[in-house]
Amino acid sequence: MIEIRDLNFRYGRRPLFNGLSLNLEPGIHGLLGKNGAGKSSLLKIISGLLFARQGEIRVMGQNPARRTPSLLSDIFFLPEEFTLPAFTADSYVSFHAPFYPRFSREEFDAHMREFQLEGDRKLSQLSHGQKKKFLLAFGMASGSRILMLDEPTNGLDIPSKSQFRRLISSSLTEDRCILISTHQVRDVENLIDPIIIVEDGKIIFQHSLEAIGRGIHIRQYGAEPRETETLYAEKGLGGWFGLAAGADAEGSGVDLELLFNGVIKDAEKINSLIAGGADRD
Amino acid sequence: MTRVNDTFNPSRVGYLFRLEALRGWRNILIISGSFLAVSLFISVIMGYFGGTFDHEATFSTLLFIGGIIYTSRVFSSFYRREWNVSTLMLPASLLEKWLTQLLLSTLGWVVFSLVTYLLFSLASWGLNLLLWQNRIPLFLPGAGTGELILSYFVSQSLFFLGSAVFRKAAFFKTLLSSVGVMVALGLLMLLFLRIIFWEEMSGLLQEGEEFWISLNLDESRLQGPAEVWEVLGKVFYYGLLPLFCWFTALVRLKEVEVNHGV
Repeated sequence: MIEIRDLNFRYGRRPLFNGLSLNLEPGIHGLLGKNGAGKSSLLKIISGLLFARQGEIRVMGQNPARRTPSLLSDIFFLPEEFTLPAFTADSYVSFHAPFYPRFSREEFDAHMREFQLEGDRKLSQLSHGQKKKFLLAFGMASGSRILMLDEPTNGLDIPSKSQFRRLISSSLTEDRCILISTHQVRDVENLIDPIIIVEDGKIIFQHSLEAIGRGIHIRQYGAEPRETETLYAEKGLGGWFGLAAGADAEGSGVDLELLFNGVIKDAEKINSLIAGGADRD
Repeated sequence: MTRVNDTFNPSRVGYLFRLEALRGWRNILIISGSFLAVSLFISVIMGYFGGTFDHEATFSTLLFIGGIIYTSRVFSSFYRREWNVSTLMLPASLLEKWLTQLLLSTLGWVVFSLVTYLLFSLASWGLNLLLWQNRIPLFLPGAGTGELILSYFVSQSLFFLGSAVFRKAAFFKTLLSSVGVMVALGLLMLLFLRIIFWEEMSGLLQEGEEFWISLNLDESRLQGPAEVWEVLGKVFYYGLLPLFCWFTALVRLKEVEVNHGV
């Protein structure tokens, strides 16, 4: 659905992406990266809001830089910062929904109920978290096949984060690609799959949870492990936790924070272990 | 599967019209309502003293000042950080977004001004009759109004372009730029005259009848060319200038999309 090849992008003289390539198929993709790694810029390039000087980008077979209405109606982008007009939620929907040919009012109403939002309230009077939930409800109901969410859980309270996870997982269809860029990895744990990590202008990691589980696993240590024992370890509650080579036989799952830090430390090694796990199968 | 026209679709323009009207109606009503309320108060005071009311001047003020202030803001959402994502990501082509704003700030504003001013004129007439038994004239659009509207389109086109060019304070920047361009053109014209009539002119600014007599112009010979120049001037002023500004605004918006995006 999204194909990026050899993308080069710079802000003035500061290079951001240098030969970045990425291929996304339907699913809920988690885009992780350090501050300034270019997660938001990547989302904007995919949406056609920023333009790369070199490289090829195809979104649903189209160049997003052309910003055609047919493609725009297939992309819903929720930015981290936004402003909503002084309309009621219902007015917003009646004036914006016609631009999205596959918009479902029933679905929107169901999401609004899930988020406990009322349609007759002025959007400008809502809190930031409520505004975000409103836009999420709209985006999910828009029928757009590509949803790009930049830090979607920022500003959401604890119940809303669970509602968000439920909403996203229930909105996934076989032709929908959801790309979530976030720092709040705990909020999207058990939701995103595959995991994409961007660093130094390139995609340094892109694997499904299944593939990750075949190559590495989380291990608990009684004391600080030696370098040879672990790929990366951190002290947590109840001891040391680290990434170790080998399949996740117990099915304990992936700690995204640990994985992220491990990949940032030595992506090459982790990638080769995961590739090795796949080869063994 | 239905093929979507990605360049122009009248339905999308209709949806954009509705959306922009909803976004802007409150501000438009507040500004024009305040202006007309003050005008109504003045007309009542004038009526008390047995005077009349200058509808043409008041209507011109509403049409021009209100129109160019409104026009100066039509593309602000392309530049404002908190708005530009929603503006640029709205599923409509740039041509449709441009056309909607053009129609709203030209025909839309003219129709709105005429209707509200006719209502105001009726209210002012009725109020003066009721309070002071003074029949002040009603506003009746005529040929003069048509010329006024044509002139409005010219001014509007400059501020329309200004709104597309300037990221902030488009109204003041367009005003200053227009004055700057006019002063520069005036100076160029003077320089041109000085070069052509270098023998007759002693300085850049020449006053007095002697100068004109010294040119020894045959007015009858100038009559024909003057008419041609007038027609050409009108074509340029009422036709080419607005078209140039409107089209350049579209080109500039394309550039904004490409260079700035967000």
